[in-house]
Amino acid sequence: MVRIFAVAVLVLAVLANVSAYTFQVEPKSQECFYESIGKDINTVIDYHVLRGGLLDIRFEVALEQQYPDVKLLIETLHFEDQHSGRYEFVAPETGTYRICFDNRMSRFTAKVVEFSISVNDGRWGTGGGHAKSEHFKNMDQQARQLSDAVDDFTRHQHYLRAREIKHRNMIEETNSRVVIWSIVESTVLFAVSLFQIYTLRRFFEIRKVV
Amino acid sequence: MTAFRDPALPCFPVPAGGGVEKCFREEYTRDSVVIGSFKAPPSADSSLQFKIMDSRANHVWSMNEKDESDFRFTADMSGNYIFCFTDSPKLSITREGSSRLVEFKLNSGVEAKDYTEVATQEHLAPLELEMVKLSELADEINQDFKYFRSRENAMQRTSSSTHSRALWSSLLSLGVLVSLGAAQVYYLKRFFMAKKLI
Repeated sequence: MVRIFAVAVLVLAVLANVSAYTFQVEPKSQECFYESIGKDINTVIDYHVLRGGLLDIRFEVALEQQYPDVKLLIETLHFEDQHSGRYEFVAPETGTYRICFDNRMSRFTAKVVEFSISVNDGRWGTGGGHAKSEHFKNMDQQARQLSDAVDDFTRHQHYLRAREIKHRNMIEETNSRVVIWSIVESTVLFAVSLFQIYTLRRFFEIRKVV
Repeated sequence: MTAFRDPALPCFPVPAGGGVEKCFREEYTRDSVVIGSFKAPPSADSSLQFKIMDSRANHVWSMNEKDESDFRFTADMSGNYIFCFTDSPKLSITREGSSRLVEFKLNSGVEAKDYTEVATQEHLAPLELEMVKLSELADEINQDFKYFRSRENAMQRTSSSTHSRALWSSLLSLGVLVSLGAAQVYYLKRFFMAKKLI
């Protein structure tokens, strides 16, 4: 009974660990976030560009040291089809880490970015807790495995949701592009043919061929 | 346990001077319960302005003068909700380039529910409470997947509408092209006949 309780507590403790933020990065600007992370803590940053142009953004993670020194951990230009949008690292030192999404390479398009940080805060600890007998050790391990699996599941669901939003945006944009394109094309064709007629008339009238 | 505050809560800077608004957006379905909190270090010459707006730009929540607070609301309609932070200076002169780091937490659904209340109301033992939480979580996951399915359906419809619109658009432009060409030829023929050139 106690073990079921432990499983339940572990499962729920896991789910509160993912915090996601969705925001817009204006062209020619960047948005930065600061996070305190302890040494040797396994950190995962998942990010998606939901909308805007080629869905590209410059992603950077740096460790802030004695001002003005900054130790760059990663700086990459993220493209939709080339990168996974996931950065996993083990924090080299305790300190403030700066996570930036840079849209300065874009002149007109704003980008909507969504990111989340998951931190493995070593909640399992060392040793098996109070479990002494073999029977309980197995249960403990199962509980931890279950909790990790639920953690993965939550992340997958989050990823699916972000992709759904991204695809929905793209499809809606495509649909309105088709409508606008048809109207523009018909108008241009009409105008061009009128212009042709008018030019020909003028051509003959000036020359006074008649 | 680590010595830090709540793990995995990043801070973002809100520049002083009130010119820049830092906004976050989140999609909620109707009747979702949303709770959250924000926290900023106190400052002598400015206060933090926080507001929540729904997709029709109605104010759902407004809070000035508070550097730290909790909030809670129920989403009246499905759509995008925007959470904005602005710095409002108390004096007319502010330090250039300074900014405050704000911590912001947002939860919805099962995470937002107050289970201690449920426990006292229904007289549940701690283990039973955890079971109830798990069960409601499973329900929420189920509902989330149903929502995914309905959204996938809507996308499928939009996609096939785009598909047929592309076809009709091509046929339309083809038709316009051919008819304009024929009209031009007809008009020119009439014109030259009138001018006795043909």
